[in-house]
Amino acid sequence: MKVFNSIILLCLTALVFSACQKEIGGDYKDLNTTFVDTSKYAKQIVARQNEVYSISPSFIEGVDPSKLTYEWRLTKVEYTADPVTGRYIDTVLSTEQNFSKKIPFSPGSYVLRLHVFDPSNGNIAQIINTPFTVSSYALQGLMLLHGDVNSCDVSILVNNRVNTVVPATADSIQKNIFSIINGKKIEGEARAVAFNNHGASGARSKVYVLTSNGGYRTEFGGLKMEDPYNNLFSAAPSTANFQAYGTAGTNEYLINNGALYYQGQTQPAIFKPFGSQCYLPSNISPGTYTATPYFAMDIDNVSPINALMVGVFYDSNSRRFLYSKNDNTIGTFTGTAPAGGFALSTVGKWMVYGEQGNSPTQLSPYFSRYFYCVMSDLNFTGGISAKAGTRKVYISDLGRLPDPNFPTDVTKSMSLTSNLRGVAVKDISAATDIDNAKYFAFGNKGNVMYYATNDKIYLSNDYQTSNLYYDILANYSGNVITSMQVFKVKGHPKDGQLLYVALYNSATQSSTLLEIAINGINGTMSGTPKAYTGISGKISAMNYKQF
Amino acid sequence: MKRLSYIAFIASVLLLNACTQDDIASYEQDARIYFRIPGEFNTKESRDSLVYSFPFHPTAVEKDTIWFEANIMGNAAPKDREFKIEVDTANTTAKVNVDYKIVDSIIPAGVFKKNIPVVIYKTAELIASGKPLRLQLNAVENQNFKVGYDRFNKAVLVWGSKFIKPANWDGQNYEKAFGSFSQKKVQLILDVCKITQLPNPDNIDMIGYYNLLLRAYVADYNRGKTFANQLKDENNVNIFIPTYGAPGLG
Repeated sequence: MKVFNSIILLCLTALVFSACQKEIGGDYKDLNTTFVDTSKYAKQIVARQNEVYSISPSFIEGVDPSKLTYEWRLTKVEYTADPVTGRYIDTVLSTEQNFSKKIPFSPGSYVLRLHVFDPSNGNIAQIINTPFTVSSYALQGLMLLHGDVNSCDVSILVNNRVNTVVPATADSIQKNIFSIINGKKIEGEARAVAFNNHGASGARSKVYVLTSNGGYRTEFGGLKMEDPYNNLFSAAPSTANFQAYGTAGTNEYLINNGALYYQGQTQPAIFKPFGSQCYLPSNISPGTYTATPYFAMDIDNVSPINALMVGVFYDSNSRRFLYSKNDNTIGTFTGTAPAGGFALSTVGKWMVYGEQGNSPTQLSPYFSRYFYCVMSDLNFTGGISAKAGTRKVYISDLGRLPDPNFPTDVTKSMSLTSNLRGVAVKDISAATDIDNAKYFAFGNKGNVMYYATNDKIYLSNDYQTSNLYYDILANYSGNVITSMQVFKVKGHPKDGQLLYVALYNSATQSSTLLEIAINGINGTMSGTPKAYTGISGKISAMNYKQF
Repeated sequence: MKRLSYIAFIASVLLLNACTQDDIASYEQDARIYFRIPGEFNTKESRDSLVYSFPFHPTAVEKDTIWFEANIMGNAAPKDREFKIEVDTANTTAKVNVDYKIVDSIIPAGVFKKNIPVVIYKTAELIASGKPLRLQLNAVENQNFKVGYDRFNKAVLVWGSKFIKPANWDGQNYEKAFGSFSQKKVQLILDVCKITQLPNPDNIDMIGYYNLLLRAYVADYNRGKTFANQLKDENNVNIFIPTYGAPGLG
């Protein structure tokens, strides 16, 4: 009993004395949190989508990198979660000391975050955040859609004329991007390529590659396929026959087999499909139309009277211009024609070509929007066709114009639907080779109209007479012209000052792209054309890729 | 020493009792039953009633079977259990074994949910009257089940020989896209849009597309006709399809 009590007492005494032992403090070390030498580390990084980016950090003297652990994270610079996934991008890309990874992310601004941990000291970390820009794999430049009757591909001309961020030394064609990314060419013969700027800061932009088989809507950064042609519609058209595509702001136009489709892409996160074809209300007869593949979308839809308007096109069925509204209805022009002009409602011609071009009045609030259309009389022998020797240029102004009923009231704009918009008809029927012209291009800085036969380019400054501009036969024998376009990009420093001509050599089955610097005011050539060779197949369409 | 033995014994008992296995709490209350009618377009949602129109089902010439869910609260049982359904006569216009027949009211062994079939008949009287019939079935306590949620203690079934106007037509997307309700208009929607049911009103892209199809159809039909000869519904009122969701919906 005594022994027992003594043991208990001893234990209690020990516990009492040890209960409130004075804390004498930890044995702190002067820990180092600087492992990587940031003075030798990139301050800003630009990497290209789908390419491998590598970086090897340098370490300060005395640091043993093998005793550290690493985490490379990529974080998207964004203020809201992705509207589709509902997530922010914050991905661990690597845990290696040296970073070397393919960057699959969409073009945009990110932060590359390097976390360096010291496991021997409680994982104390050094964090280095570096702005990291993912650029498009398919670079900004002039897209070319080229191929044969069975398939085609997309290549992009990249130089510092069309791409303002690349150095002067960059001057080449990024070839066959679609097939590199998607592992196959686009089925069908090339018809159109277009860029659609969509979403916040263009983050959901698309590139349309459209062919005789339909084609695809692709992601803009790398042209990765997203939607086949039929998926662009709520219900696929009974006859898939793509003819034309255009976009202006949030408005999209598409012509399939003579039917016009319109969609207003007002939601930044998604694309709404094209519905049914636009239709004529019951008070208009005939109620059918066949849209030609040329239309004007840069029109006056700003003034309240025209706010519902979307575009103007030509109906080859009743041979009249029609306008479409954003409720998917189509309307006719009305009223009297101006002196020297024409009534858009009763043109009665065969449309050869149409393009928006030089619009001389740019004084606020009257911004003109000229639509130049090459038209012919009709030949009814052996079916309807264009009649030789009758080509004329029909010029309509679809911009914001003062209402002639209120000429002094600047607040009143004329209705888009007025026939008064048919401002002029120019007879170009006597111009050299005009009947043989297959390709047309209109400038936007002055009265500049190019037209081309298989092997000659002509320039007209009055839409009536012309001069030989460039002889392909003399300079590129064996080649024929397959496409021609004035570079027209609003706000671009080279807007209206470059002419692109695509040539095809059937012997080599390859194309040459000519870049011709022009005086935008009068269309004259500056210097000699620059040729880009070795593009497979025939270039049938070109368009600008904004980013 | 003897005292130490006592302490050791008590400590052992305490140690052995320290970590006894605790049974997981289980549903100890009575088995209950409740009814649920899944949403038409989202079956995870519930709706107040099931509305069935024979014209939406042209192959159902004489009869069809409609279903509602019977769900149990509590554990599944190893044997079949019957639940009790009572017709709420005050809120029912359909006659049993004439207009409808309840085939089954058994929750099978081992299940928590059963779709309960109700056979409905397209009688001559139903066709002649043109009026919909209503059947309200209440869950009633029996020896197997008490009644579950108050909200879900009944199943309301409505059917008719004509198109029955959906409760969410007026003031909502159906009316905005298709205008006022009529028998002929619903048939027009099905025919022109090549569908067999009204579309999901929450799918505004699809509603917009159908709206455009209908507007174009009506415009074509009416073209060149006087107002009196334009497309009319069963009440001789001109069929009008409003523009839905501009810009560009559809």
